[in-house]
Amino acid sequence: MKPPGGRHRGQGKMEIQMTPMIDIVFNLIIFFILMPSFEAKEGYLPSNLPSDTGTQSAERKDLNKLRIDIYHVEPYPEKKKEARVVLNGEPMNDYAELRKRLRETRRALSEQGRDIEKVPVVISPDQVVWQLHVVAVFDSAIDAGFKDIQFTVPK
Amino acid sequence: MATIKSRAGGGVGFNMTPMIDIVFNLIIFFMLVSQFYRLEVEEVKLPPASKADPHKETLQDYTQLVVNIVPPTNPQDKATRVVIGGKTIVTFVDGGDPPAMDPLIDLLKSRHEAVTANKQKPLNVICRAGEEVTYDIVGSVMIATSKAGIKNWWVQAARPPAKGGREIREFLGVANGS
Repeated sequence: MKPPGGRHRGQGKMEIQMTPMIDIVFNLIIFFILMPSFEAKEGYLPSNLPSDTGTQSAERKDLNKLRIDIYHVEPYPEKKKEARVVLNGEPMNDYAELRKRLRETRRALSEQGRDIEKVPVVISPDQVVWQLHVVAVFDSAIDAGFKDIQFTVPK
Repeated sequence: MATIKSRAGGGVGFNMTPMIDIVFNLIIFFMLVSQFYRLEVEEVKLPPASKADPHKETLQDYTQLVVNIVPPTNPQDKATRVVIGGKTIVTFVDGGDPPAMDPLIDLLKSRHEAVTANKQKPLNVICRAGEEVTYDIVGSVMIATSKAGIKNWWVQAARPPAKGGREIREFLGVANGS
């Protein structure tokens, strides 16, 4: 009886070489397992350093400047995770409102023909405010399109 | 019973050797890469920022110096440490007097001078402060950096995952202003 399957050059039975395929498949599996860990999980926010000479630049009354104050919430330290954010003297309810107000301000300044990249935004956090809030305010200002972000020395 | 036979007449054999070679090389490579990275970077929970730029090309114009500000790791620990290259330079103790910043200023100054003397790209300090580090500490490190003559200061933040991650808004408890 004729044996089933093809013949290999007329000699032995046909062989399927599995080794290279398994090599490649395993390497692909490893690659796809590791790939998510290479995704950038961190990034950078360029900023300007405060001078050690005081907060006069931030405290000077200047209508061409945006000032964002970040205060801690009483009673402290029970509410140490929280913060109160005030934009040009007006308290914000949350970060969504801060972002919205900064975008509106950016739009209004652009309509006045101002170069947004040169409009300074001064962030003035309280001594005990967490970096979490400082970065959130910083991020909101960048999100609105401002580039010149400055910090005051701790109050 | 019919079995598949190899040319030599035995059962089918898988040659695992090349695959194991490659897998072991990959493991060694990634272990070493992570070790080098850990020399500079301390494990801290960074604050999230959606606009944090992950592209390293933006860093190429500078010589980088990573300054880690590590908050206390457990409730008994009250020390916030400023760590550079795996070494604690300054320690802030919660409720204690502010520490002398001279060791940090001196170190930053010596790095800055070395970079300038070697005509390297300008020094850029990357601040990796944990999200619960208070601004008096971050501000003190900023002032020390400024006193050392360094002008570039970048803040490192965590990028929220593309999808399925927590929204930044829910991290932040902002009390109603008064």
